[in-house]
Amino acid sequence: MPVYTLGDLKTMVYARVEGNTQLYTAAEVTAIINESLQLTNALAGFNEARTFVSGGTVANQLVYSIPANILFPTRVTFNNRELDKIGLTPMGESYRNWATDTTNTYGPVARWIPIGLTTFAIHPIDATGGNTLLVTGVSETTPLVSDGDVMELDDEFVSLIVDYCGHRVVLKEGGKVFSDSSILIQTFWREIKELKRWETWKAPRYFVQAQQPK
Amino acid sequence: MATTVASIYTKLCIDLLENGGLVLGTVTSDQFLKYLEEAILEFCQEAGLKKKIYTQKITSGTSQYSIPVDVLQVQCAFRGGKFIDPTSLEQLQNSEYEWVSKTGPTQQWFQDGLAADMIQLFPIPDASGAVFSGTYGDFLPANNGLTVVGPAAPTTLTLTLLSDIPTEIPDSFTPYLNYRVLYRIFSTDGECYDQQRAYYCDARWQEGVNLARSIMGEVLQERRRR
Repeated sequence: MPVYTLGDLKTMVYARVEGNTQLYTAAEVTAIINESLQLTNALAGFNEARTFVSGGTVANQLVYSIPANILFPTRVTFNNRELDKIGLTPMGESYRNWATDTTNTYGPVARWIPIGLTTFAIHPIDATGGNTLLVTGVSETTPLVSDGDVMELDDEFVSLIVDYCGHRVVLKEGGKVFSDSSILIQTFWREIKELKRWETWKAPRYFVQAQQPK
Repeated sequence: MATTVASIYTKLCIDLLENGGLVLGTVTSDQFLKYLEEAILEFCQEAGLKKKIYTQKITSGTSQYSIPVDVLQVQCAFRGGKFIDPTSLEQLQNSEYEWVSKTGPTQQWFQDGLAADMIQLFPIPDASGAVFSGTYGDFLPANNGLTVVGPAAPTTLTLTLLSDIPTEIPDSFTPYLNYRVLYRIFSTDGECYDQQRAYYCDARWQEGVNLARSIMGEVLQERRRR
């Protein structure tokens, strides 16, 4: 995967704002780049991590903690077998005894139920324990501080990030400059949507008011 | 690494063209902190990224139970680990004859007409569960108690410029707090009023809330039912 430094990203962002280092200081461009990395990662999930639940399954334990380095989990495997994801409400509605079903009574572990970002449950409960639970998910990006700090990024994300920064830095200007530029957020959302990371995610409505001719 | 209030403040100052800090008087630091505290609470309520599981004992003949303040609202409830359906006062009044005095195994729960930190079960429980202290983090089905799951309240809501953002808001979502604060500033009558930027900041806030709901997977479905 290509590697980019903070310096590379700053150069690309400045190219969008005519290299104006007086109006847009290095510190604020760095802050916007880090914001862009965080949000693009949350929306598109380019920074993946896989971590085993410490100690594996415990006999008759329903709820497990998500490893701390995972921002939000996307997949869980049980002894290398992928589990189905199901929400807590549909789980409770479809499997009335879900909290007491065990592998002794209900067959092998087949589902995982996210309960917020820090915990999840498995169904049925592992009656024997000692099996592995591997959590795959998106992890937080590390903020870039010095120009030499590096980030592994696919080219498609680089253009997303640079486009985002290009329109976001002009928020402080307001007026027509910002109004014209802000419409690029729709392009950003459309490209995020095309990545289909979150099927149910809805881009908000945002329109720019047309100026009345004088 | 927790995001600091100071880092959000610095970014906000830049967006308001007051790079050295809020000194012009159009927006004060106190206003900023108030708006930020409100944004944190709103995000926890609307997004519910971190949830609390709380289980308490059930007593035969008692239909109302209190919910701890660190559970912002009840999203799901369980009796002895079994899911119980949400209902409303109106539904009960229209469909259940003498529901107020009916007893039996717990089937439904509701909160309307009650204090914000209370939940009522229907029918009135006819059997007690095991005796135990309220416990966080597990459903404890063997105790046959009442479990509620809901978004966790922020650990602190009194911020200063030296505070950290409560851990209930993951670092990756903290930029959305900035947009909520900016929305409040740009949409309030005064020197900073700017309808276009207010629209933009509100759309960015919605982007964050929608993302959090998608991540949670089931929340939209719950909203449809209500």
